[in-house]
Amino acid sequence: MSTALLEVCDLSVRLGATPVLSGVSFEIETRGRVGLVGESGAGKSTLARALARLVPVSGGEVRFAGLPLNRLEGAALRALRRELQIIFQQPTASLDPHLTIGESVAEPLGLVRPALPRAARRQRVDELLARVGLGAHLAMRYPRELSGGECQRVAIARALAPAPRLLLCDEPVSALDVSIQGQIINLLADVNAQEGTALLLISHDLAVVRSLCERVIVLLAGRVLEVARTAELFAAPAHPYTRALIAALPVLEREGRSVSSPVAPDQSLPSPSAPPEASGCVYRARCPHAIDACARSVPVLEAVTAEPRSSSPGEPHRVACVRWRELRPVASA
Amino acid sequence: MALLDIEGLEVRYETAGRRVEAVRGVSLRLEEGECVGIVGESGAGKTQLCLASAGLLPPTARVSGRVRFDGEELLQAPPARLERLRGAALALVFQDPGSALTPHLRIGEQLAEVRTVHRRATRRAAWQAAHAALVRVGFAAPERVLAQFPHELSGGQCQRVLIAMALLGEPRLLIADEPTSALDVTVQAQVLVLLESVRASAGLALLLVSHDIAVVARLAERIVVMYAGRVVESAPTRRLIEAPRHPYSAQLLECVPQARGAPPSRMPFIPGVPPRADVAIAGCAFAPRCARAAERCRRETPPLSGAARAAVACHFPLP
Repeated sequence: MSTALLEVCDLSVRLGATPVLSGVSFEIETRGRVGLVGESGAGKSTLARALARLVPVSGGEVRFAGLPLNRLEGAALRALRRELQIIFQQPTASLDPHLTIGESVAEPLGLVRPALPRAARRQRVDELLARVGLGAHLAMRYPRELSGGECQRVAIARALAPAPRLLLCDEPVSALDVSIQGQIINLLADVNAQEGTALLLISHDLAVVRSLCERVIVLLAGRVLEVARTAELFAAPAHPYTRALIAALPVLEREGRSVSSPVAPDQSLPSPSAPPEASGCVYRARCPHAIDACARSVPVLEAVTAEPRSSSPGEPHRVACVRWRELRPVASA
Repeated sequence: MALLDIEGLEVRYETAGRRVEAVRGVSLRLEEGECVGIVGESGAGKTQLCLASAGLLPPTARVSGRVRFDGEELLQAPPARLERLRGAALALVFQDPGSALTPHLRIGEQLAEVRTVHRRATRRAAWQAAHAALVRVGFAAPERVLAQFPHELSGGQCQRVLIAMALLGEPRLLIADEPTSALDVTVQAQVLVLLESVRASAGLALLLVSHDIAVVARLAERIVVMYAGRVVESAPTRRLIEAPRHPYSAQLLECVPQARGAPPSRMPFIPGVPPRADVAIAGCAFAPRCARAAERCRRETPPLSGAARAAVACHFPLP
């Protein structure tokens, strides 16, 4: 019996004829913190929406707490949905402008516990607001009176109302100022540590994912190119695409050293008019190491390290690149 | 004489009883060929400052102060004169490259227009210049791009086209407002390298605005930090990064997510939120979020003091 809370097996999603996700597999353990990174168009948001059953799945299976999430309907689906909540990038757009903050937070409570008396519900709203660091006096305000960071806290309070076991966070801080981002990321870390809510953090920002997640999945054009424990991904990225992503991060070196010189970026320019290859590796058109073999078949995820030790739960480091062994930088001693 | 000389600029909007102070007294000088970065959070007044520098503020804006470009006052300049300047001596690049191009015109038409309108160039000469500009911003197949429509290009390609368009006017000043914020990180790195190379080869002055201090630090010789419509610190890039003097600059630098080294167990942040632009500010705008704030900070607005190139607006600056 595995301890996985969420198991995604060979998931595919098509929008019309366009494949958006192809053969995506990963797991999130109970209380786990998993990051999903990728550039725009990688399929990150579609994956979150597929897990929340907001877009139909065209193949594969999603199991949540052992139940087939993508095949449930009716009351069984509604019951499971409470366990899995989602927060979005635009906090101001995800709150109803006509409801006060208190009403917004009370709304999911009314669905989960309809028998809860008024006074008890109001008290629970205040508790939830306090949980996300907002004063009870904000309950009477409207979303337009709050800042973006405060609205995101309200969205988190709403999501926590049904006491979910998994929180899907789709770019939760990318619309917020950098001075505010840490407040929200730390709040998510506290929710994970104290309530035991597992997190799937979807972000284009590797640095944000790095600070919160134990494990990172790298997605490009709907395919998983690499999965690894966070420290290992940054220390020894095995896929050329992961290396390009890390190299492109702007670096601010301080404490006596000079401001960093630019790292040679990935020279290619992905274009929407030239969609990624239907066959072969999705990165090969941009990859400086691409050879004929890369065009022949889609590389499968293979283990870079041996099976996980008991001290490090979760899947082993995997990479989908036919040349990863020869391209791997020689590890320094 | 400075190429761009802004003095005591104030920009405010008044609507239905609300008074929004977007820029609250900013002075800034940019020399010929210099690259100055402006950093700040949303609501700091960065974009309003850019618009004022290009004479693009909407008619509803109440403006006071001076904005001189090459000695010429822009705030009172007639619209026709401003239009002649923009697209020639003064060029702009904005955050959302997709919406800055006309959707139903081919890239070639839009690029050539810069030369036919501003230079009265012949159609043939204008197309040749457009072709050359696309080569300059790194397109391997410029003929194909000339024939394409904006929707056929990616965000990064559109931003390159816009930089090419700016260069066609042979500007002396390029104002780039969050030029890479809408782009993926790998594309952002390419656009920054491109901006760096065109600036060096064309010798143009660059006003680079971004919320991301790491982006600005890559290119700028000097960084100006804005908060709530004011300049709180201005210093040469290395000085600012290694030894910030304003508590806000210091805390903002702490918040930059680090991709190298051991990740912190808690993400650094600045407590509280920036003040709303429609609320009057007494004293230092940063005081409510500042660990060093004293009674005086809540009462007196600290003036920007120091040398022209290294100044700080704080009653209790860091050493």
